[in-house]
Amino acid sequence: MVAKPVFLTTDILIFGLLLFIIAFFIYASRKPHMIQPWRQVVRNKAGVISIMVLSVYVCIALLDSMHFHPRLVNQENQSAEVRYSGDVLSMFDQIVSKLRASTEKTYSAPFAAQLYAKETMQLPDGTKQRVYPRLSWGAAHLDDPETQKTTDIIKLGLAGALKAFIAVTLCIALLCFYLSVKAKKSLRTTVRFMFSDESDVPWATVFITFAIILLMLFAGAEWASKYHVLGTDKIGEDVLYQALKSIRTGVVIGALATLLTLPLAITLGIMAGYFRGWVDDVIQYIYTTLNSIPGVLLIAAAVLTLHVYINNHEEDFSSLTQRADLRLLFLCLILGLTSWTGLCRLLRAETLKLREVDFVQAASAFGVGPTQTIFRHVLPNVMHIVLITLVLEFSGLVMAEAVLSYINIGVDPTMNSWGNMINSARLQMAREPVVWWSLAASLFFMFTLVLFANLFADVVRDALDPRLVKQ
Amino acid sequence: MPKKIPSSRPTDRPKNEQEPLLRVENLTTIFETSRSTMAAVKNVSFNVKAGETFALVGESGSGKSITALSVIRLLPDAAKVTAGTVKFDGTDLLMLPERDLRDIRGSGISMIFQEPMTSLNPVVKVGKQISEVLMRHQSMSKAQARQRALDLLDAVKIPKPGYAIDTYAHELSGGMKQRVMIAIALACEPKLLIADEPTTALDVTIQAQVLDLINDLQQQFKMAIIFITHDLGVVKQVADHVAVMKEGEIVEQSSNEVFFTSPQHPYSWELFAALPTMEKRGQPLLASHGKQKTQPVSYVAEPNDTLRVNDLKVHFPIRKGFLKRVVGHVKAVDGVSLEIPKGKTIALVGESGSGKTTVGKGILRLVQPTAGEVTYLGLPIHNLDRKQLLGQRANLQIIFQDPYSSMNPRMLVGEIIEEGMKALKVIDDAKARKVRVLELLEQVGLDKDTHLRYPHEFSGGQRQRICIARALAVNPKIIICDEPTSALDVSVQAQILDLLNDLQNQYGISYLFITHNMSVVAYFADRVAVMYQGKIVEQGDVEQVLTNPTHEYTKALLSAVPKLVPPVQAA
Repeated sequence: MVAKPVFLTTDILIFGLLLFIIAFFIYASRKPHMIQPWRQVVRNKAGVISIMVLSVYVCIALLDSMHFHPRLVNQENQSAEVRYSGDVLSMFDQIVSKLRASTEKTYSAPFAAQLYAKETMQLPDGTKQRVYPRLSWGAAHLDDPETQKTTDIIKLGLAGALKAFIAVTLCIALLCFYLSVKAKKSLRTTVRFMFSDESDVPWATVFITFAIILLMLFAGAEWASKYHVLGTDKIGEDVLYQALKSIRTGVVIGALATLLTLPLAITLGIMAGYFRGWVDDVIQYIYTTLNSIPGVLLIAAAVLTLHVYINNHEEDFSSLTQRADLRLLFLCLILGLTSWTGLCRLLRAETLKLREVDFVQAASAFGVGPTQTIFRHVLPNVMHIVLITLVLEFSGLVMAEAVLSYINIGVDPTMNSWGNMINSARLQMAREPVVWWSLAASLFFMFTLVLFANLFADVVRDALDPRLVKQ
Repeated sequence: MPKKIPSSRPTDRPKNEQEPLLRVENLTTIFETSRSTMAAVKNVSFNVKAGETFALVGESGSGKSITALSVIRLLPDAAKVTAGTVKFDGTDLLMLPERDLRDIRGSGISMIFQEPMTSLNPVVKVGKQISEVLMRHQSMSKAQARQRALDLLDAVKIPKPGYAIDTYAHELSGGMKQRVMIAIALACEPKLLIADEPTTALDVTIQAQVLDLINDLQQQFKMAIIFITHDLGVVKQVADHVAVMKEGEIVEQSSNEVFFTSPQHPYSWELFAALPTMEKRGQPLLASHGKQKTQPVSYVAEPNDTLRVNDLKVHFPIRKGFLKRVVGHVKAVDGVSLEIPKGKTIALVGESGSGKTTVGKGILRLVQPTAGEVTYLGLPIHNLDRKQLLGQRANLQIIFQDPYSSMNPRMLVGEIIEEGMKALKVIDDAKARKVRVLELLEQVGLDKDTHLRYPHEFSGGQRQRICIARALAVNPKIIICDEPTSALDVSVQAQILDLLNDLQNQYGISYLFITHNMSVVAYFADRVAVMYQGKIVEQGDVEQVLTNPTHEYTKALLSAVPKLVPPVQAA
């Protein structure tokens, strides 16, 4: 075996969620009223763009969620038993292994050839001088960075652009060909149809977004192979690598915490609205109480408790990664526990309304029991609210992680996350001259995710809101 | 331009006496969506003279409201006037810039709508809503406007206008709200009032008062009225001229007398034919179906198969305060006794809030009765536990008023009809159930492939048929029909009534027919019970109660119903 797979709890959950979403769409594709709004999302330009950008993020997060212990290569004794490293790596680490391995001594600016700090160096003639030393890896292939760097960067960028162009053209051609075969029409008519107003999917938008994404990927890859595109941090780690690794943390927190709110919010909300009476009273008291405790306090208390637990049971955790993962999961859990009340309220109100609607009354005239009524009549009719809240809450939770890590009650400090990057930027901003790239990188990556998640949420809300359905 | 025919009238008459106040010519309005266009109003022409009432009659979707909205250019965004002219008092409204049009709306033409609940702003006092209009159009001072508002509230016969002027909309009843709407519409003494179904949402006694009021005000202010309605009885009472609309076109225009004695167009005849009346009892309303009337099956009356309701009471507690103490009760149903014999139709009549729907739900135990007895087949329905009640569910079924909310929009029609059979284990075998669903659909006159479609794909009448099929699925002996036709057009109502009649004749089903429509009662019911404030005030055979009422309330109710004797078609 090349490697020994490791299944972290969050990995299992995130893939479980993926399977669930796939299953939902397979199920929904057979129910016209369920698939119809999603068609509308795809028809919308903002919807298509945000789906594409979000899927890039999700792909990276998924690749980064396949963990394993790499096999140790034993040079001296080929026949010795296979041994695995204690480190836990992910598929994504493997892909960007060069970024991970290429560390410098300390800070260096984006695309720099030298360190950001002067060092005393001994010159060949024996004298000592304080200079900016060359980086061990960034721009190491150039003899005289001063003169060659700019042209080299442009050259690499153009090479990336060319590759991206070839890839995009190939993909588009293949897609057009596939569609024309599928529709059994000539290539020409298919292409003309795709770019006309009658086509359901705005293909022009799709292709332009695709081209931009590929351009960024290929050019980024070209540059990253020779430079530190976003500089390095205090211990010389590549900032681009950190920012990319943080994607998984953000997506996991956003997705799992929202997912954890669902069972609570749906069960309690519908129960309160449907059964009313004392059930309603109890549930209302619970969420009113929970709402009146400041969320940050609750989270801080929970995270500190976990700290104590981990410190007392160190033997239970085989690796640092597992420890960090447990802390991440616990953070999701506690974020979920504190944020279910909003959705619960909405669902309670909607259920109160629904239980008086004639079709629910008709069901009770047929002697349909409460469980059946809830699953068949109430739940499907509140699903749009659940979905809308889900996508809206996602971006809020991604940002919550950043805030919590900033005040040190977020994810484990060893785990890459935008919050931790921003937290470390506190000291960097105080330096003279300022080190700005860590903060800028984390903000850019987080901003893109949150922006497109919000755009997506808007489109989904419009598509699912029955009051906005255009006949 | 065609030359004017020299008129025999004296030439010194003012111009606007010859010229109609509103002249609409070849008006066409279309709805545009990204994928299709649909003409809602096609080539419509009519004139409204000063001081007269012009009624636009038609069923839902016939384009009558859109015609009115086109006249004052208040169309929804998707709609557009593509052709025609609208001359109001000499000005072409369609050519007028929006700015000038705003002056005409309110002071020249004003409008009242169907739903008084939503036409008033709930957070602004009604007095202020009236004076706003006055200050905008007649530049009155605040004090002047308030005084005028008081006068107007007095004019629309609101008791204690000095008090009403400082109330909010929710403190007023439906009829009072509509009066306030009329006061706002009349604030600037418009020459033309467009009334879009102004009494449809009101009870029949309130409707009579509002119609009287509109009539009085018309005399007083000498204004013209375009009266939009689907109710031929109301038309007969208020209109000078009648125009019948169908699918966006005016198919017939004539004066009141001519229209109600000898209508010209076949569609007008269809409308009259669909009206249920006492005279048509026992014969189907729609002969065009070509179906033979089913003969009633004969059955031996057994002592137990009458559903008896004895002194039924449903009281809802009013809870207040922190611990939700019960501080009083709303006596929705307060001692109702009824009998529903096998194969008969009992009508339960009353105005909104009289508790008639609660009686129906109390019998079915969809709300728990506070006191009283319901016995059927020797069983005390009011007293059964959950399991025993389940056994009786199949016998007693219900059909609701609103065909849009009575079916789960997320379920297929087939699943909806199947639900009861499954839950009550009427038919356990899935295949046999499918067969039965198809059978039921055919019985209520729907296509077989209906079962694979969703409720929203059907019209109101078709939905009501599906609801009937759903109730029939469990072979009920008694169906409680809660205003099953009041949300439907008359022609569709006729279809549904015919269907219910057929089913009664075939299966001997009894109906408790809850309604506020007296003509449906006269046509359809065997016995009638009149309900007022939670109690039954009069009960008896239909002929006797309708022709010879004894209770004051029944008399008031019957006199408020607009009288209409449909013309008789010469053979």
